[in-house]
Amino acid sequence: MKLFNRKIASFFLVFCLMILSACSSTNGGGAASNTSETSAKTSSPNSPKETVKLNWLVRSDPIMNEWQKEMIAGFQEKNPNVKINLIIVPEDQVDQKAQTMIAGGDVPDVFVTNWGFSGFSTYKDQLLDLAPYIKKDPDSVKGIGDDIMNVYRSGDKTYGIPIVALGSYLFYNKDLFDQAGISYPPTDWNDKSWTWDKMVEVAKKLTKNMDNAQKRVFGVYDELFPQTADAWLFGGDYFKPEAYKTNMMGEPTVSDEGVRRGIQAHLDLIQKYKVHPSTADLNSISAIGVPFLTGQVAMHMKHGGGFWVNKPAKFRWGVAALPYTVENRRTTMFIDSVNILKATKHPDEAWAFVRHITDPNGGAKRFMEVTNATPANGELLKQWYEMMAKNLDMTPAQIKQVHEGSLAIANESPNHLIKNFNAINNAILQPLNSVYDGKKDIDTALKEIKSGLNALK
Amino acid sequence: MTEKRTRKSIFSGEKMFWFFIMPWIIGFILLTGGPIFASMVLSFTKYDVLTAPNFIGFDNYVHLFNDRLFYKSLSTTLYYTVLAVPFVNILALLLALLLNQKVRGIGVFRVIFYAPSVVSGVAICFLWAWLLNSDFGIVNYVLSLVHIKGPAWFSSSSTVIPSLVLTTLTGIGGTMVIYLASMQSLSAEIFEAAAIDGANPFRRFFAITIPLLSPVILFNGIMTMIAAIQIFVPSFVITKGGPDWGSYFYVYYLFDNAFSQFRMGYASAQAWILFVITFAMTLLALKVSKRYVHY
Repeated sequence: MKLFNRKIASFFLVFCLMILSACSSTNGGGAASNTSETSAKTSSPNSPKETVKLNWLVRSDPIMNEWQKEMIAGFQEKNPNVKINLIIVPEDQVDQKAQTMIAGGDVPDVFVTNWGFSGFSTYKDQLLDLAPYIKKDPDSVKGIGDDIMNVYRSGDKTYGIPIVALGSYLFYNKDLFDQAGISYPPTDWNDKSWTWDKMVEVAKKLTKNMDNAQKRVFGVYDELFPQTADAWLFGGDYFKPEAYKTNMMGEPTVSDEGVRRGIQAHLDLIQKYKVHPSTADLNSISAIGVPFLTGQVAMHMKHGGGFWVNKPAKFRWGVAALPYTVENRRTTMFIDSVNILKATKHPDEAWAFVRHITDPNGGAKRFMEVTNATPANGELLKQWYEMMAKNLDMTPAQIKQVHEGSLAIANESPNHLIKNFNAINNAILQPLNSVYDGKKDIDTALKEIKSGLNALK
Repeated sequence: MTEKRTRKSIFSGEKMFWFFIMPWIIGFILLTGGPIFASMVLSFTKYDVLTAPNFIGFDNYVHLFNDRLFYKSLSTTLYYTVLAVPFVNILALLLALLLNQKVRGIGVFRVIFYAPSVVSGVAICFLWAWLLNSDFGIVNYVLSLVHIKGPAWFSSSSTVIPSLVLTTLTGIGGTMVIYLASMQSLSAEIFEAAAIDGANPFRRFFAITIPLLSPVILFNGIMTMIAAIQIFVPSFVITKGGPDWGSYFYVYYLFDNAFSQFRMGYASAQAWILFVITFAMTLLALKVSKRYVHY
């Protein structure tokens, strides 16, 4: 029995040593980066005879997932030695999946980092520099403007090929406007007659049936994302300019006057003018569908995702400029790029696949057609203007005007540029919701936001 | 004779014990013990999963004790625990009492009341989100029929925790079954003797059933307390921790630290603090119970 006990003890000892050795990677880089170094050396671009497996991590979205399957079929037909493993997970689980895959060494070779909640900057250090590939194949970024490419450039490195460039807009229900006999809001961002007050006036006329939960219509719903967007629209910011360059939040500037103006304007829509759903109303109406799509919201302030989210609408809808607020207003833009993890074992094949899905004559064009999303590639924009004009019963010139006007005053979204922005957004959102529900004053909320943000530094 | 001795030595009780328990031990060490040990090590590191961990000593623990959300999430969790543990146990006990009656078709009733416990927690959460929807939910609709304006349930910081406690209604099957099984093992003679002596059903319940079930009540109390301290799914699915952090439970904060903020070392430290809290509360329950539990 003593011998037996000794054997068990030995087994435990060996196990503990294994765990310790697994945890003692102190030479910097860890498992993921070690794999990366090895893979870069072993990858052989000119001998792709053996079957190569690439992981493509994407968020769950019925429309996008169809496009992804189509892309895979097309690529595998041309490259029979490459098998693309499509990994679809709900958007709020993309980060967990990516993390566990990276930690486990079976990395997502191709990954649109902005399709998770944490965003590009969180993964930036893990991404492959695509500059050498772009240098060899300049056509890969032909048509994508420098203003858009720069979001994914850092020094002489390039970390992604942009595929989508969304602005922020006001989507409106044309049927509700027609019923109320109100003219549509303008597409011209420089039209200073379309002010916030004017929007409130219109929203009051459109708000109706407030006593009937089934039939009520809210005049406006400000769903600008992230929570910092209202501050930008009113000329303020929660963060210092360095935050967007260093990708670190740093000292927050929440007492900024623009921040306060943005909160007050949003609050007034709910509590003073009663034209906007409260947080409780939103929880309630969101259960039966997207509020704009169910016809319970007449004007919807949202990022360009509205172009594809609103696609199944059973009413006529249009797109307009956000109301004019202040001279130094800014809107939020969202440029999504396709990225490759530097730990990939097959960077060349991954690059070939990225080329396939971002090709303006192939993948990127199909993406635009299937989703309605605004393409990042300028070569496709004319087609997109025509396509959207037809769908929305507007003119291509109007679509061009509203899109270009939005981007002209836009900055890239902080959730793409500041690390771990998901938690930052939540630290702002939770106190703000209490303000909007009338349970907390702005000063108290701002103090809480500041304290919450400081805890995340 | 030799063959018999050999067989006896091979299949002797102690060795057989180790032989058969070994798959579980190996599984425990690799799949549970390993991660537990790893989390202990990681709690002393700064680790974002994407890069190698850096040893930082007790910094995570020090930081946690200065973290406002740590206290907020802990107090929210304790508030939920204080409400949920008696709610679940009293209801499960009363339900078991009902299902212990000798009536026709009692088996069907037992299945009906137990069945929701086997449904996925996420599905049940969606169901409750609909039932308690302030505008379109059936509960507020029924209240409106008697001219009562239903509360905002999950949307108000004052009602969110009681509402989440209410969702445990569909999960009390397991606790109820343990109470039921214990009740069925109680000797009928004691109850008959008490009835002959004039004890009414209430007296019998409080003077006989409860004392005899006290070890089981203690067991269920501790198990539901541990489950309540680890509450996560309903707030993750229904409320996202809101409104105003009102349902931001300890494990939700731990999850956010680990998977949203990539602070795996910090989250590991949180996990160990949670373990200590749970352990201490269990010990306290055991100590206090000595005066009330009859073995």
